[in-house]
Amino acid sequence: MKAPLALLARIPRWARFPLYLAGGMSVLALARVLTGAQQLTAENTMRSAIELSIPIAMAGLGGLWAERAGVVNIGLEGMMILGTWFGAFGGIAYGPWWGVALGVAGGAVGGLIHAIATVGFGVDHIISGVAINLLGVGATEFLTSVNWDGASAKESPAIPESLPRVDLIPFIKDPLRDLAGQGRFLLSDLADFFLAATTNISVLILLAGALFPLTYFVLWKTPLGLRLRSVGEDPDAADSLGVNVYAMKFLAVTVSGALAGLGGVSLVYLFAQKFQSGQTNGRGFIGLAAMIFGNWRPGGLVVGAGLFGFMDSMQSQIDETAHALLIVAALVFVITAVYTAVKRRWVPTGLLLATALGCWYWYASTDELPRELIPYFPHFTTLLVLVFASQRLRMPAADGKVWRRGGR
Amino acid sequence: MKRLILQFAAPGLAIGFALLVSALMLSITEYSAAEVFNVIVTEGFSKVYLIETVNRAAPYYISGVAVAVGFKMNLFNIGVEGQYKLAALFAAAAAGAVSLPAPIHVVFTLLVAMVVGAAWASIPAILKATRGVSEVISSIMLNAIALGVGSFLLGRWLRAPASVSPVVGTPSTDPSARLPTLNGLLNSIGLNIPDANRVQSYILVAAVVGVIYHILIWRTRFGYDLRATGSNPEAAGASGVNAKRMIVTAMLLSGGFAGLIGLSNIMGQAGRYTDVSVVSGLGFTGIAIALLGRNHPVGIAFAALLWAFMDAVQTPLSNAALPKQITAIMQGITVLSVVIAYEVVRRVGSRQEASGLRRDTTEGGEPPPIDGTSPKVVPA
Amino acid sequence: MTAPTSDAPTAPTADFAVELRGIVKRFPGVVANRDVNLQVRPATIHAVVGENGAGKSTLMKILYGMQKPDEGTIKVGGEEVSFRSPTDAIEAGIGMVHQHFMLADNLTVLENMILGYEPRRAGPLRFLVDERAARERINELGARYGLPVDPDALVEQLGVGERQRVEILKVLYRGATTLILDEPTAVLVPQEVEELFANLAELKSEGITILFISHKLDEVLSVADDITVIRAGTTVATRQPHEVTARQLAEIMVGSELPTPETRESTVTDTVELRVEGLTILRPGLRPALDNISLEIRKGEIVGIAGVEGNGQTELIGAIMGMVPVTDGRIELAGEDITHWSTRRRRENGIGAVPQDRQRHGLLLDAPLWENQILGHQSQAPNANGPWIDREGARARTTEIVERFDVRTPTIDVSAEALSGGNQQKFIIGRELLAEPSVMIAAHPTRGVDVGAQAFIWDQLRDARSNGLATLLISADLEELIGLSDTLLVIYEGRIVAQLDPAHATPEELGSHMTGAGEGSDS
Repeated sequence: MKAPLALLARIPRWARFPLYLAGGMSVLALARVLTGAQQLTAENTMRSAIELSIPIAMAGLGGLWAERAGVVNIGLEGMMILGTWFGAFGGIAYGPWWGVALGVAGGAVGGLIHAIATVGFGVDHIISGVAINLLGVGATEFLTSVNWDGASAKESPAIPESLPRVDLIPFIKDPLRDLAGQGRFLLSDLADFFLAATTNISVLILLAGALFPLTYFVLWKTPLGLRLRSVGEDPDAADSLGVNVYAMKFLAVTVSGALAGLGGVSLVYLFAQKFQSGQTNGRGFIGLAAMIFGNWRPGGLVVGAGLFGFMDSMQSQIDETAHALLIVAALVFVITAVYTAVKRRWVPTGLLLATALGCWYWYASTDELPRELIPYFPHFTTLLVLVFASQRLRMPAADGKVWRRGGR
Repeated sequence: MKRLILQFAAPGLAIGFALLVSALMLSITEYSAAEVFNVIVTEGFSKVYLIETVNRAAPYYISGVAVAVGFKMNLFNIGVEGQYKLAALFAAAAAGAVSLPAPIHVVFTLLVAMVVGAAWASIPAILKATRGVSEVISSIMLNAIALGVGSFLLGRWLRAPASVSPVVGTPSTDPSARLPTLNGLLNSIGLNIPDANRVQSYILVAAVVGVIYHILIWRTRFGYDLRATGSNPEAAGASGVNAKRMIVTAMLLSGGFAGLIGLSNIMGQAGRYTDVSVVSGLGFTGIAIALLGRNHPVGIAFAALLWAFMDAVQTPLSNAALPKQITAIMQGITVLSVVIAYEVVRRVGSRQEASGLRRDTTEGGEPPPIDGTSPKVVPA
Repeated sequence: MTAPTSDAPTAPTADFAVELRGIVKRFPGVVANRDVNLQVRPATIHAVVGENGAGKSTLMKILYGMQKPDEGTIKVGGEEVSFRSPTDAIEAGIGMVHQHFMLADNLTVLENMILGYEPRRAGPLRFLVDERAARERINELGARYGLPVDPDALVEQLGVGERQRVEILKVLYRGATTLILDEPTAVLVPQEVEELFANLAELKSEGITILFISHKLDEVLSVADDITVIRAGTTVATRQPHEVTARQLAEIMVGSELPTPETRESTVTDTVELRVEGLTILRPGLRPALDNISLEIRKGEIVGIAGVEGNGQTELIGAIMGMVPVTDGRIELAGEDITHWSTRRRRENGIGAVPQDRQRHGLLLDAPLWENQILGHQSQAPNANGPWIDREGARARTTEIVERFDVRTPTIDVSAEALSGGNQQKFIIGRELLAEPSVMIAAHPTRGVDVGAQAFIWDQLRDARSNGLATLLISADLEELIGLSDTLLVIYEGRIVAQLDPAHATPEELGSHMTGAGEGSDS
């Protein structure tokens, strides 16, 4: 039993994605078969999950850039809000691509303010973040009331033009659709996913997706990235080697804000096509959770964002689909139990199996999950992940610490 | 005396800066800054809106105190938002379910709220202590989850039967659970308050909370330990304080105070928990207020009143077709600039105090050495 | 900035590798270095020895570019240089290996090595790190100097000795030809020390010059080619190992005069107030912090512990105060086993402490003086009254402290950080003494205190002793130790290595025990 696990560890990081994907889809496919909830892996569900994961992923990526340089960015939510507003404003006034640019810029401005407060003045990171969140809400509400309606507007007019959507695979689209419709275990589900990821896909998603390998390259393969990461690990060591600690932090936090802004832009252009007060709904924080889930690496972040995006998409699903999540949960617990059993940790194995059983029982004895709780699946999942995975996480060593040259 | 000036310098600077930026932002719109400020000043200080200010200030104050308890220990209780909502729900449900003589009923309600608040606050504390989970993230998640749990419980089990009330909410409480208004009292001392403008006596609850906060933190041994741990955890440890226990206790205390935030309407005219009777956002407001008020019981009072005032004037502004959100901007900028101002003022102030003192108390000897080496040059 | 090509160092010239002449460095109120002269021959190991506070660290900071000297010249390879930052020093070929390693745990050896000095790929890919070139160079350097390291290992996984190798390689990677090692054996176990010395010999044979800062004379004698002694901020002598013994070196380090203690009546009683038996604190992968320490302090006695900082004093204090968990051993207060008591309980039962770092462990800097008075005594009168803080009592006691202990302050409401160091120290001493403890742990009680206040504090300690106080005095000030102690112990590498009579201890005896030179030799 140990051999497969050892084999897994030898596969390079980037190649593990297909495996994770296959694994995740298998679980969903199995749940679909067991419960009959066909919508669980339908192309629409998959597409919705992907689209909802983008804002979370962008926020998480923003958090990653900042925390890798040692600055905690709780203000992602506020920067995201700035991104939604300026994204809508730009789109209405000049056109959708201007909206993207202005939204990113707006978020970057928020990041810059955070940087000035925390790096420039040494304010506690979390306090500054909370202040920026407050500011983001207030500023955008004011700007909305001033720019568009009267003094009580909560949303902008619709943006006339939307961003283009493309089909990446014009030729195999139809055969894949056929396969998807056949209901074959795993094959059809994968087909659904693939279709969702490549057809009718907004260019914004492609842009966002490209930022992940880009981040990886910059942070892990360039001198700039190494210096940035060193500042988050051991700023004193970096300083002693001539790295400009302050400059690195400033850069990282501003980029962080820009990415959060892009997340806000995606909320506008992928969904409502307008600015709405409360649009972000805590996704900035969920992004942070995805970052932690991903152990501060872009790859893991993608998986986390996907997970949380999937949960987020459950809100618009029929009861049957949401209900089936219980079986998904049960399967996940069972698989984890197998893992702990291999490691001969019997107590966790027992607990996990008991929880799996509980989930199944809950599924069998009810018809649906409480509607009121569904919007909070992402948050609950986040909490569970944090609780169970905290031990194995490794955050940048100097994260959250206010650094002044010469020590204090 | 100088110290007092320094204390007021930071919030003063911050508010001034916020006014400046707000004026600038207004100037780029078609609205006139002068008109806005005019409305704020003239209408804001009228009886109607002053009462509104006072009423709003009470929950803000309690929220500020709840957060301040954590801040005194260098802890962030970001979970106040979820704690007070759940506490209000449970307290309203509990109050509506029993029938007790008036004073006991009131106390019972308050206690239930405090217990629930403390219990919800214990979750991030325990997760942090046992599993090392970031209390900031877990608190924020729990805030959201509290909303879900609350609406779930309310919808399924805690609501008054639809036949009795079509609006979703807990059963109405008996009058014995309500706090009277202060109108009668105030009228008897000559202030003419029209009946339509109710002055909630929850302001008294807030005052009591403030007094308890002051006594607890500044007059008890426990409070000393708490402040010492927040100021210098190593020195506190050396003086005998058990850090871990302090953290949990402080969070529970903070949560307990938080529980009281949302009760003002439930124990007032509304008499029950509905989506309308408990306002959202008070948790983050509390953070801002604690920061503005520097965790000081009187400072927090000023901050709460200021904040409430800026909220209350939104109505006259809106009535005058002026952008009411300008006050929200002022609030946001005030918070940000006040924390920056504190840092700056603190460093300037301590440097001055130290150098001034060293000048005054000439010992004829050397000031302390730079890096721990002995200053005396031992004769060869 | 491209990585320098690896070439062998140039043939030794008649110039010194490093030469310092007439270096002076002043800080406000203190002269850290004066009239320092140092001549380091190329491709040798040159040791610089001295006690704490002798000025070694300031001198090294000047050498590797962290500080600029006020007067004097620095020459490297015969040419005069002026460093504005460590980067300048590195460009001149001087690299510093710090005592506390500057390595990021979560990064790999490779990443730590190239940080700030990254080799880049050619042409259009110039923005990417050339990992292959870096790896090659690291392996090449490692092979040449006998310092093999695994470039892809996470620093966190490395042992102390390996980390030191990485630090050394780090400066060699940047082209250093002169290495400064600051107390390199401080945290090494004996086997790692041997490995280090072998590495240093290898480096020397490749033409690298090494400056070796230490206070451990036996090690220095075994590995150095030249030894320079620093005392009181100035270089007092340079010797070669074959012409001097450890004891002689120790005498030069410490100075040939020790103060004579005043004759007085002994107040030492027979009652043991504090007893420590077999106290041991183990650290995984490192030498034990405390190794089977036993001592006794009687009522009316001051037991002094001499030793160079970093040899276990901090841990001993922490263990007695209950702040540091012990692996083994027993602590008894007036006969009662207090090994598992909490800090608060120990304080309530009569253990007082003057901490060695008053600002970190003894004061709440932003709190007023009278609140600082409560610190450490918050559960007892006059500060506490049941669960309440007794403000009147606390303030009254604070006024008493200010008056009796000559604390210069306008009021008792001034915040502690405004007081000068000397007054802070007097205040802390007063606070502890007035609480009438039965045992007092005094760590560096007159550090950073002017001569007048120092004499005052010593008088207070003596008075307390004659009233029956049992005191543990830990200090680096030999005058203080000799003048106050009834019994003098020496701590070295976590062990008590000597017990001396202060009235008859000679400087060479004291110095050699403190520096481990007395190890194994008959005494």
